[in-house]
Amino acid sequence: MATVSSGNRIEVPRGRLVLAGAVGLILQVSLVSQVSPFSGSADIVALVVMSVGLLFGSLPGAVFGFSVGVILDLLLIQTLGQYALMYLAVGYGAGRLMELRAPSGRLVLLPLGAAATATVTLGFGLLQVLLGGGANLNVVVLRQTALAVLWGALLAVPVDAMVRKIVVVRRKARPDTSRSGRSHAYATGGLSPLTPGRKK
Amino acid sequence: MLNDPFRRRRVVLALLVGVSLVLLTASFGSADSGPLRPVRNVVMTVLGPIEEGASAVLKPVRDLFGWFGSTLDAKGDAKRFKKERDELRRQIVDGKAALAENDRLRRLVGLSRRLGLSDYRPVSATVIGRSPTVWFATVQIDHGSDDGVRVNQPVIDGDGVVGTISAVTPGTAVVTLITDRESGVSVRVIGPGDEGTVVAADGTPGMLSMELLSRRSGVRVGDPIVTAGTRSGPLATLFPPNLPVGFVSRIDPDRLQTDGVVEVRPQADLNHLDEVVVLTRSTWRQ
Repeated sequence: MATVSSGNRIEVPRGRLVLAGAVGLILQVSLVSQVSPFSGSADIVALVVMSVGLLFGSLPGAVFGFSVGVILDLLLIQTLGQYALMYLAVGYGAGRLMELRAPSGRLVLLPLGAAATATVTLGFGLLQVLLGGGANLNVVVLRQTALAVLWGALLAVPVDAMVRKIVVVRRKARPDTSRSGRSHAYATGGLSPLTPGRKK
Repeated sequence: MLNDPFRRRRVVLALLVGVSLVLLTASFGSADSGPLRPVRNVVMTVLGPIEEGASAVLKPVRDLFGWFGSTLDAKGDAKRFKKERDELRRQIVDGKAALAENDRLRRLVGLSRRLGLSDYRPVSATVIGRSPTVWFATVQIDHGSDDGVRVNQPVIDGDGVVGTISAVTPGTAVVTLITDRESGVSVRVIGPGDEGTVVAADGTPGMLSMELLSRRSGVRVGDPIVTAGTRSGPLATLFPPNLPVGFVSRIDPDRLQTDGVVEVRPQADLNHLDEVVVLTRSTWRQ
């Protein structure tokens, strides 16, 4: 069990989240990273983490992002904690956005996907600079970053659909859920499938 | 304490960030070694086969993306290569033209040095026009009176005598070739030493006839013919001596006996003139 916001305790399907993370990682490492259409590459894992954050809230999103990030750091045999920190930020940010604003509509995923990818790409570059890795900012890097952000925006909707397919467990709405304070956002028909406010 | 969801969230978040920073610090600079290496090994042992399997399964998809990418790249490459090919072709043409020009100029300079033509104040000129008739009897050059070119001055190229200047403007001049009916050059046959005049051959465009002074000449086919450089008398010429004119190409014994004429092939390729030299000073006049 994990907490989404005050008063709302929702069940997080851990097994399904593991599956979603595994699918995202496999797709990223074995497919997406190895094809570079127009010299740009998407960050599927960031989009998966974003979707989980939007579905389950900030804390599950942060934990999921951190976990997936650590595994990706291990898989790529690089300094541990880099992707963990970036995906943690993405998961937490997406979750907080859902908790505070409850954005609705599929199209909102486009800017969110772009923002998630930009956060990871630019954050990773910043981390390289801080670690003394000598991130070299040039036209090529900027172009690849822009392409990655573009791919992030374009793939956000299908990746979100995939994540929903894997993790969402259909359940009945909870009529006793509080609609006061921050949680009122859930009543607006947001992206979270846990939105309880649709009373007929 | 952690029952408060806000506090709990903050604590967990701080914990995760802290762990991330610890991991960063611990593994920085030693990604494949250090204290976390056993953990990495375990993860790689577990996930490695999965990664390999997934990679094998997804290979067709990668290949499909790769095919699209390669096709797009190939189209771009084809366009670039075509541009490079055209540029290289142009360079080849330019290079060949430069080589040919270099060859002609070398021959011209060689002839000039060999015959000591520097005293004749040679002016190099480029052929810019040709006579439209099939006889190619005149050509136009890009130097004129402003460069010291005057009527009747001799014109040569790297192979030998070309003709004489027949008309002049400030910037251009017309060269009447030795194959023109109006031309005539006093010459000498190397070997027998016979002298005579070379004029255009009747009915054979591009060929010359040499009218010998002596009917009992010992000329033979292949004998070289050079300018006589005669400075007085009926065969006086502005051409310096010993400039190659041509060689005896055919001898008709009957015609030799009756008219004293032999056929001569010009040394210079008068149908393909590009650079010529005008000898603008006649030393014997001074």
